[in-house]
Amino acid sequence: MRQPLPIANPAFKRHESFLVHQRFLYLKVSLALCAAALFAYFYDDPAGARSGNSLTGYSLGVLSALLILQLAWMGIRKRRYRSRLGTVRGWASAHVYLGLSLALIAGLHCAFQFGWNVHSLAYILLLLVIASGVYGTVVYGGTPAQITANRGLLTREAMIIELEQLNEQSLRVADAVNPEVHRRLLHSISHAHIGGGLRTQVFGPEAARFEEEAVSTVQFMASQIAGMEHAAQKAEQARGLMDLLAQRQDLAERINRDIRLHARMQVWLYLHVPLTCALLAAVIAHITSVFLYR
Amino acid sequence: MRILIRSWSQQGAERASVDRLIDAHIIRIGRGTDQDLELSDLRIALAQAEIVRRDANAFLTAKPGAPVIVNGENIKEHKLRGGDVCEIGRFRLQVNPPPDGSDADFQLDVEELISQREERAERVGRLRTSLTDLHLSRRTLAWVLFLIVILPALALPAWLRFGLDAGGNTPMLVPTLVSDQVWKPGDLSTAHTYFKNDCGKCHQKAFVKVTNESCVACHQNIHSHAGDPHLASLPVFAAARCSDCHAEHKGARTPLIDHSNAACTRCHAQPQKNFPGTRLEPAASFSQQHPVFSAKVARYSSAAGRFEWIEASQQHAETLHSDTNLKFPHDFHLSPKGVKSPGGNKVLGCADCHVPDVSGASFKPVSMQQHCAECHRLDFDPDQPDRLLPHGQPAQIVASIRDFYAREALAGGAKIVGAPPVVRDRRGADQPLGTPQARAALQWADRRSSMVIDEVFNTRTCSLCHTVQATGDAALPFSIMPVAPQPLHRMEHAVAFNHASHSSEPCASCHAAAASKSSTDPLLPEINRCRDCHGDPGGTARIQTACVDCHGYHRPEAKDLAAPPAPPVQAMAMGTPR
Repeated sequence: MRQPLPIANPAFKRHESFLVHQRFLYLKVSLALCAAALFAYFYDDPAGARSGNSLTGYSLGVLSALLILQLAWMGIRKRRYRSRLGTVRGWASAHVYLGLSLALIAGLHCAFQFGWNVHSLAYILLLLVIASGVYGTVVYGGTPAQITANRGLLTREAMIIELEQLNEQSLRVADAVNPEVHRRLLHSISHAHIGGGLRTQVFGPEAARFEEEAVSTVQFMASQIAGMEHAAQKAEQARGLMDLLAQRQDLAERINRDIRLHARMQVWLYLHVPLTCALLAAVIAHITSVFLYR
Repeated sequence: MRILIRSWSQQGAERASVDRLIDAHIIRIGRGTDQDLELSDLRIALAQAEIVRRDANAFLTAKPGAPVIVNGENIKEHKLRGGDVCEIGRFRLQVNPPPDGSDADFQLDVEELISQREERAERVGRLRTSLTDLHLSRRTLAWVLFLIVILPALALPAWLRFGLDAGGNTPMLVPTLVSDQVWKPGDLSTAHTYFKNDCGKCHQKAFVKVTNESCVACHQNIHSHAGDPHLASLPVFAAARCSDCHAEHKGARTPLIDHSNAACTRCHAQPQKNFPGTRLEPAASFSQQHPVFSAKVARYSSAAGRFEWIEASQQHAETLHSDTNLKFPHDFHLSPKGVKSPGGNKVLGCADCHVPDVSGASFKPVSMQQHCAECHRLDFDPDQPDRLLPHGQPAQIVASIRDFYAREALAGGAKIVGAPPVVRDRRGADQPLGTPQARAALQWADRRSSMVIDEVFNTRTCSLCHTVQATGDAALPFSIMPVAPQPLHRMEHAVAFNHASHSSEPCASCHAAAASKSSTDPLLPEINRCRDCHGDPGGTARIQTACVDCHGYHRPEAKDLAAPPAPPVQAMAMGTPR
């Protein structure tokens, strides 16, 4: 007798995004912080204009600095696997929402006064770090599903091995068709890009050039077959070769898409982390200079 | 051309070679079975390259589209020399001198570098398919960015300012880029723009707030808010910093003076809280809570014969008058029917007497000679209307009248009713006057001048405007009570009021002069008249007016703010003429 599927099993829990962590706990915390900062900003009417110089300005500045330290600590916390200070999931959730709230709180701190100085540099770097983080959050949300859909049941390594095999197989068939076809194909294969530098990985190889190579090869073959001896046999071989080429091109595109999706999921960290360090430098310069020239 | 081909292969753990001598003009290299040197690799063309002899040299030529690498470089044609290493596909061809005893031109060592499987593995391994393959270090990038920011933003400016030159004038290596200018939160006010890069002019010590002393170094004679030493020693004044109200680095367009009321109302909304015993009234906002106006008014002490100035508030209307000692009814002079004048009826306006001073803020003093004398003529004898008495000099007035009538009497021929014949009779210059006659004439002159003096002082002329007092002294029988010096009413707490900036309004819109019967009225408008147009900063219904728009901060008068208010003094009885 067949067992019923355990669909209603309470132990089976759907995967929940870190953004929803504890029913949006940190979204609520961040909104509360923003509301408190806005209240303090508009309630306070200091002598002169609102600025980072008033009591409210200082308080919001201290809060912003503490938030920056907490957010930067994420880079250390996520590597401490034995830490019991909250879960990494909770930290990630807090990181996203507190980071977003910082754009407002730091803006209120300086009363949105900007100029060509280290103080505004710190705010601009802060916005860049937040923007790269927003990008990261968005790609973390959608890209894994795209990667799974693109790969099918294959791994990256299996796809590359299969591509190599297709290359060799098609070279063998091409060799049997015509040495010129072989030469063309060899040229096409050696010019087919898999991966590459930073730009190629993130934006993909120049598709036009890759297409051009393959299309010119196929067109050349078609022209060759027409006037050949044993045309029927050659045509059969050519058709087989075209099949191989189509498979090869499809696979190469899938591999490159896989590389591109992975690169896009990682590349923002190459901005987010170094920009955070630049931000820390700017904040140090900002705080020191403000107290140096009081 | 004779070439010894030595083909190497791996057999178990050992390398083995097979020699073959080829003697031909052209030696063809490729994957094809018809080639002289056959290389079995699918990635090599059927005919890939050729070795051709030309004169004494051998050349390696690549077929079109077939890659051949010699000594690491892709070549089309290459003159072979000993030691050259050629790479074709997975094969390596090395040119060596022929072995001893061989008659070959040279030896070509051919070796399959790696197996097909290894070659594929290597090719796959060379692919850069993830960002980690790019050997980009986030840590290095992070440090580079950290240094790029911290050096020009903090380290270099700090070194230039405090390490290199503690004098304050920061040397500019790259103007404004690498200097403490990058710390400047905003542009300086226009008054201080000339400091340029001399931050040390104000920021004298690191980590120490700009001191009041650095401001006072230039602004030497500035008054503090509280002139009274006792008040000045209170914490609220002792701890006051110039920058509390004068915020710098807000840009050239922002005034250096704080125009918000918060700094003032912090104390003045509840002055009793900060200054127990003060007579200051709460002033939380101009529109809602502001004391009524007070003016300094004159009080005349007859005993001392001088004026004192007391502060009188509109709250106590009975005190709000000045002892001017001058009879001047505004209502009579401003009558729309006009006043009598030598030139006929004349309608007067405010500006006929009140002429703006140079600044336009206030008015020149009203003067008898300029503004009154045209109508109020100081003549005394109906027969001689052009003979005038000097104003403001009672002794000279008495002397002038006496001299005039003495001469009339002694000269004779005066047409005065009731005068004795000796005065009325005409006399020639050669008709001397006897002593008894002269005495009689002078007696008449004394009587006559006494009468006229009394008339001038008490009835006709002086007493019209002045208070005349009898002295009992025959030589100078009357004196005039002194007139209060102008301005007669002083607004000391709102000195910034400017009449010129209110010139669009008629005088009567604030000053009820047309109804004033006495010069003792200060004619001070009520605060609500100001509130018709002026409101608080931030409001939109009225002209935004800050405390400092009317009140000065750096004023020395603040010293008597703790003193009790002046007691009300009864006004002097001042009659109105006619």
